[in-house]
Amino acid sequence: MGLLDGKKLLITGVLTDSSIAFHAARLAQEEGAEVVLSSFGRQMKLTQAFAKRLPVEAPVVQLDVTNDEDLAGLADAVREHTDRLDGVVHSIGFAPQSVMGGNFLSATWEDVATALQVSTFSYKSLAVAAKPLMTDGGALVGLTFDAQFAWPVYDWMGVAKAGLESANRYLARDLGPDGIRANLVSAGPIRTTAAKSIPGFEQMEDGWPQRAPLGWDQTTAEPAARAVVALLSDWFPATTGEIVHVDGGVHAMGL
Amino acid sequence: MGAETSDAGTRRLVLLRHAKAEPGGGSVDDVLRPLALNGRRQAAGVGAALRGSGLVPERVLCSSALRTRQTWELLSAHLGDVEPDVVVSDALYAADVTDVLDLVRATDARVRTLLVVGHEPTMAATASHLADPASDGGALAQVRVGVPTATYSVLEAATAWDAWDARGALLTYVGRPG
Repeated sequence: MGLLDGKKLLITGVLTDSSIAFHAARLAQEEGAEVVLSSFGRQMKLTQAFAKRLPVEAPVVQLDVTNDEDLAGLADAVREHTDRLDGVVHSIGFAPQSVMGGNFLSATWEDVATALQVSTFSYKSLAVAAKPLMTDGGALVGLTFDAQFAWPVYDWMGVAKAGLESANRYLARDLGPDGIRANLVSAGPIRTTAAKSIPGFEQMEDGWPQRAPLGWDQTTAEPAARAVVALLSDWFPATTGEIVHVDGGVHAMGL
Repeated sequence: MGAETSDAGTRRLVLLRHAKAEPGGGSVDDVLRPLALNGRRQAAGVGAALRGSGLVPERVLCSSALRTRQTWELLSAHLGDVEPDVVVSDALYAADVTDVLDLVRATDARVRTLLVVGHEPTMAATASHLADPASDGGALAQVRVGVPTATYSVLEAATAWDAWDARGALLTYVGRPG
């Protein structure tokens, strides 16, 4: 019996096979879930290619979280593949280079607004778009990078994550009555994701394995993906508005 | 398919082997081998050469091994003020030619120049597989035997990405800067 037997999930953000989202999709299938992926624009075909590398090829629906038509059409697009959803994974974040990498003070509102729209507001947009399919309640799971602190080079993405963490609490409040839980996984740095686009991200990674009481392997997204799967399961039935740290324990240490 | 194939224009694929890495063996996992000092210089040179040749990519597929990611990071600093889509893939680390082709064919039609940062023997083998036999003889001979570190092969075809296949592209250059 798998942890997610019979569950139907929408997983966003499978842009590569080294991402937390890809490994969450893989583990969810291994635990018995049916998975639908979403992607958009230039990434769409690549997501389809990676979808073929999952244990079971997953269908990919179009969803640009900044596009109102896509959001309005999400429920119908997903219904072509499944009748309902029990869980949704939000793995979406973007900030222009100009607002990361040590450019905090020179960032412009236009670029910051993009970061906030794609990385923060989209959590609410996705939840609302998927809600009509979550008829029996369910679980939303998002991904953050501990926003209590100012980090090197993370800059406005850190501010966007602080907003995401707050939005998670409000989603917990407003969707709780429908039996929908909202939780975040706060993962330690994972090199494959970082290498994508944050100049100087290695400053953040370097001390992590030493500071983590459990140690920290920056080369694999699997620990964070396992936590995502656990939060999607029925084994966190009374947990919402929570942030689960999957960081080797760094968040709890002073030095 | 129709919209794709009617979308004419040359696509350029740049297949790059990572720059010189520290030797393997010992306690360091192969995926965590960093670039050697000389490799760091090579990577910067590749960036400048790509820019000089008008081969700045709009999309990058990069193996998740440390030496390929470092190669990309160092070369990208020399490409000018651009923000290509970068996809770091585990599959590229142990990819064979078929795996690379699957990812190349999944490239969005709007992308004109695609850079793959990967490993041998697959980078040269992919170039050899895709190269039209009418391509430059010296370049063909080079990719048939394999390429050294920091060497890139350039293939061009007026074919939609999803139709790229064996012998379908002109191999126009194989070499490394410096």
